[in-house]
Amino acid sequence: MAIEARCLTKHYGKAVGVQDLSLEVKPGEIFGFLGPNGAGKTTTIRLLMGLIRPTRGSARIFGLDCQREAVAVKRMVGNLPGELSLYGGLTGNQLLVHLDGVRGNRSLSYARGLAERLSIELDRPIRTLSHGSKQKIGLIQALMHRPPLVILDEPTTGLDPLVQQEVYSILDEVREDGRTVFFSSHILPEVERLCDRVAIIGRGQLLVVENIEDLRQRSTRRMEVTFAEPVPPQVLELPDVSALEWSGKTARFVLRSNVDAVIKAISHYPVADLRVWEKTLEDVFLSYYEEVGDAPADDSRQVAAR
Amino acid sequence: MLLRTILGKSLRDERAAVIGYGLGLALYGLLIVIMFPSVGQAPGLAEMMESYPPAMKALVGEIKAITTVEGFVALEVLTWLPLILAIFAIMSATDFVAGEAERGTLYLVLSQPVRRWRLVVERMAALTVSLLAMALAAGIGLWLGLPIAKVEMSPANLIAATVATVPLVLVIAGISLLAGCILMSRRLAGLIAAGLAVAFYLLNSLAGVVEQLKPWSRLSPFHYFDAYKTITNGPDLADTLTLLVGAFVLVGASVLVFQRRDILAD
Repeated sequence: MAIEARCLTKHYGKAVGVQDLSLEVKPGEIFGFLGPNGAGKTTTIRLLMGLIRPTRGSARIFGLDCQREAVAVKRMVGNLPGELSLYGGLTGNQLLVHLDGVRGNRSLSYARGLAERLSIELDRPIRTLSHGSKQKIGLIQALMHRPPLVILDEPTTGLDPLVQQEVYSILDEVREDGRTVFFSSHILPEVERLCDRVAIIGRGQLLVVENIEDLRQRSTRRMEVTFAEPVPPQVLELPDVSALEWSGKTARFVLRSNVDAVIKAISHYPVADLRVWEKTLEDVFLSYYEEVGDAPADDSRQVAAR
Repeated sequence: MLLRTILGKSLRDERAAVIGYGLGLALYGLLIVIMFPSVGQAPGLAEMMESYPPAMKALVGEIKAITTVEGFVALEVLTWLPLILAIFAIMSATDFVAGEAERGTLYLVLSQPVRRWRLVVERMAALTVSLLAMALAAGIGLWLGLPIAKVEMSPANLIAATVATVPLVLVIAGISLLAGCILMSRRLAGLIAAGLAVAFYLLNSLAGVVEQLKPWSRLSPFHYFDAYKTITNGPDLADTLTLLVGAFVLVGASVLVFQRRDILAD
């Protein structure tokens, strides 16, 4: 297993970071780790990196214990932290030289190639760079030594769409190499674009692990149909439609499964406007919370990013 | 390339301070030696010092032979040098762990395959090199002043005496490092380390006049550095070793505390 967590638990005082998290990530897959803010994603990543000590339980990366064999683990891992801090006084180049040296590697030519693809200038002091540019340097340092496992905490935050696409294709290449990617995100299209499997975590607990296809099936979208003339309200009473509301000639509802049934049903009437909202991860989380009978109302016990 | 190691990067980070402190200390040393013929040998100075109340003497440092160049340099340079170097040592050593943890850069470094003890040891080694360079600069300043002041003194003794302040400063650096590892707050650790350094200095000085403090003075690292003896007889081996062992123990304790610390990204 690339990653193997067993009953991983971390409490910060009374607050729960993660609770009894057990998880397996196979070598060669891109694994998405999803959850709302404060769900325990960052805590899990810090545990995997051996930067914090579990209250109980353990985690292994390629069979090595993340606590006792932390240095050997880190040799095989590249990590982009969620809250990235770089040495502001160094230029991007100098920072990469430093980290390359500390790792005992010689991987700077690959790093420069990545910098070119992400279109970032490496000769300016890091403190003068924008958030997005710093994020790019963070990505490069996580990827440059071609680690067997890449752990990324929200890798595309602050990047513009073109660069995001480039990051996706870099991660595709990592997978083609047979290497493993474990990344946290709350952007659903990104997750659908990249992942083979996903885990959903909420309030420090693992809710579900499933294939990306199953996630797609399960997810819902919100729709709004405005008809050109009044129609009988039964038109939209379909098996996969819920939360149906009418206001005049406009119907708003939530749709499970695909849009085909709705298209067919409304095609008999003149449609003035049709809007479909991109499903968000929040909707997905909600559907899982409903499933476990535990709506995320009370989040006071949950610590935020730390 | 310097940047490829933690030691090298730390040295690079400290280079501006080394140049600044070095030039300042060299200039200070130079001026003190040049002033010696007119001030140190001024008629009545020894008598005036002698007339100070004992507590006053303890505070400014009681030096027997103020009218000799050795005594003058011991009083005016060697007594202060460890305190000046301590300012830099406290600022650096509290930054190594606590400061970098607060800025979040510690997360970045510890995401690399680096052992925590190694990080601490490399940074302390860089600090030692920087402190040696600063002390050496003070020694060179003094030495350059000798021909101008037309006084005779062994340059080897001068340099050795300034460099001999470094083990003492390393103990203070060790205290700063340990406080940083425990508190994980640079500000708080700096305050505590600076407070302790001043308290230790006073403890050692006042122990000379306050009988009740005498048994406690051995706790002060300043007890193990006698400026006048060092400049006349060279560094005392036992004292120097005691200080180095103290620094070593403090660094060791820091590592033990640091190993168990959770590293958060901010």
